[in-house]
Parts: sequence; structure tokens; C-alpha cells
Amino acid sequence: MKLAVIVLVVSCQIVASGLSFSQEKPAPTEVSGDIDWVFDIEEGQKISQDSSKPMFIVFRCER
Amino acid sequence: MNGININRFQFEYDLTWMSFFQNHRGETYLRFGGREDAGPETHLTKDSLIQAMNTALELHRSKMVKPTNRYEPSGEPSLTPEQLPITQKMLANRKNKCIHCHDIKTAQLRELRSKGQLKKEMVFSYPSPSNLGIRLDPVNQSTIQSIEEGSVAFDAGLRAGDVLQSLDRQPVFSFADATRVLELTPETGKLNVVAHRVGQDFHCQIDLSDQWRAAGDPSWRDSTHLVGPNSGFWGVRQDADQKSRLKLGAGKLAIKVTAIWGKWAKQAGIQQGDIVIMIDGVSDDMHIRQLQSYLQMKKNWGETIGIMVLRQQQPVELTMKLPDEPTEE
Repeated sequence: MKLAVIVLVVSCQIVASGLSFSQEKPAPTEVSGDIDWVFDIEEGQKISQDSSKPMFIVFRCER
Repeated sequence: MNGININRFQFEYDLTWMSFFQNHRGETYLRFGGREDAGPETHLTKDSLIQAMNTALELHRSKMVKPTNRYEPSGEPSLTPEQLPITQKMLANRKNKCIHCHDIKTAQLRELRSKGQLKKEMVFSYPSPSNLGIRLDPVNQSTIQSIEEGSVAFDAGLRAGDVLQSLDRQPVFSFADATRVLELTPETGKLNVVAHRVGQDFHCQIDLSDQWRAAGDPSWRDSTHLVGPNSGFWGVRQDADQKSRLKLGAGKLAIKVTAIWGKWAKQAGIQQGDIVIMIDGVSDDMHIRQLQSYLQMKKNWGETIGIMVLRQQQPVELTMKLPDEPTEE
């Protein structure tokens, strides 16, 4: 079954553009489960627009 | 939080989990997350998430986004955590360059401390509606599960079963939506509420009094470490049987010291294995995080406190001079 929402997970591992610490950014980590999470907000917004689905944006702490 | 626009995503950064439902333009349908002091999952369950998703889809189909305003800002101009000077200092000595949610609040409060503007009550951000006497249903989160009799919400006329429509004219669909409005609600004044009751809208105003925000147990909030000194030791709360063997009542403080890191604790004579039964004159039951937050919220840097411990079942009185200033990462 296709998800009705675009899912993004945002943690300290997010890959984003234009960061001053770009060389030191931690890489994204896998999230277990069957959902294909998107780790980039701009990419999520693009998918959301193309698919006409809302975004579910999650901030989770991995400490 | 690396690279995240914190002018767009404003939320309780002491939390370990938070979510937003938005459209592709970044306009918000609803927020989902948050907690009561009682536990991290009071309003974060599978059922409540399903309910929130269904509500978000309905709002999406109806194209009903929240208005862009101070509660749901556009995010312009953009601001990332890396642009905060204090964040850069914090990251300088950190091998892993991860910026955690709680780092944002730490940076914001340190900035205020550097300007002499930090107040202890600032840790009580994104206050729960229960501070006003409103207990929201854990699943259908705009529904009032109960109202504390005699509270300001009770006095305003709100009752169990009412369904919140808006606070200060901002639509409310979830616990997190409510805490967002309360975050920007002043200490005193009136809060406009619209609720749905038996097919009709019910309008009322809640009278806000001093200190309504600074209520409850802040021990889950990481940010308490910024506003006051800790004990310099860690420990484990003793259970009822262990207390009984120590001839202590179940409601009494009893924390067994398991680790000591602060030189002020060592200088006070705290030893591993000591059972702390009184601190600063308080002997009420607490877990170790509550003991730390008690000191952080009630005491100031450089103050001296009394501690009583049981050592080999004998009471020993100790005096601890708390550190003169905070240690920074």
C-alpha cells in the first residue's frame, strides 16, 4: 500500500545544502522499518509537490 | 539539526521527538509531538499518530493550512543552528559535528546568559495546557479529557468533552498545536478560546496569572543544566523494600550514590555507596534527575547546601559548596 504522506526524518544526520560545516556533516543513518524515509527537506518538498501529498516531517534525537 | 532553518521549525528543543505535517510550500497543517511531565509518551502513541495523520490528510484535501503568522512562521529570513555563534563554539571541541535538538535551546539560553538575561523559569518553554487546568485526550488531542476543578480553565467555563477549535484564534488540532500557542502567550492577560460543545461553538477567555508557565516537574528537560548547579554525583533511587530496610518511609528521599564526577561533591565528602536522605533540607522522595533539577532550579552557583547521607546505616551530615560558575562544553 502506498503511503498517503511523504515522510521525512530529520535528525542530526540530515544532509542539507549550503551548510558552513559542509565538510564535517555526519552522514545519514538508516532508519529501520519498511518506510523509505527522505533525509533532505528540499527533496521531500519536491516529491510532495509532484505527488500532491502532504509531508510528515520528523525530528528525532539519536543521543 | 544541522542545516535546518530554525526560524521555520520552531518547537520545544528539549524534546527527543517532534513532527510537523506540512504541504510542499512548508505551510503547516498540524504539529504532532510533545509531552506532559509525567512521561515522554503521554501524547505520543500509535493511536494518536494515526489520528493525527487522518486529520492532516483531511486538512490537506480541504487545503486548510494554518495561517502564516508568529505561531507558524514563514521561516524568513532563514537561520540555521550553524549561524549561531555559540553553536560554533560548542561544535569546535566536538568530534561528531551533530547538532542535536537540545543544542539549539542550549545555544539560545547561553546567548541570553552571556547578556545577563537568563532566568531560571525560561526552561519552562512550550508549557502544557495542563498548566491552565486543561488535560487533553491522549488520542483525540483537541478533545478536553478533563478540567481541573478550580483552575483558570474551569473558571473560564471549559469542561471535559469540549473540543478545542482555537487558542488566540490559531486553529488547534493537537497537543503540540496547543503548546505552540502557549509558548507565545504572555504571563498575564487573557487567552481567547473557542471550543466545540454539543454542536455549538463556545467562546471564553482564560485569565492568565503570574507564573502559570513555570509549573510542574522540569526534570526531563535537558536545559535545566544551564540555569543552576548540579550535585556532582549520580545515583539510583531506592525502592520501597530497600527503604524499609533502611527504616525510611516510602515517600522519603533515598538515592544510592553510584558515580561522583564533581570535585565539589568529592570535597563535600560524598562517597560511592552513600544513601542520600536529605538535600538542602528536603527529604521528599525524588529520583536522581529530580534531585539535580531541584538544585538547578532552586540554588545558585556558589551557594552552600547541607546534605545528609546514610553510610553503613549511620547518618552523616555533609556540607557542599556548589561550583562558583557553570562549566561549558
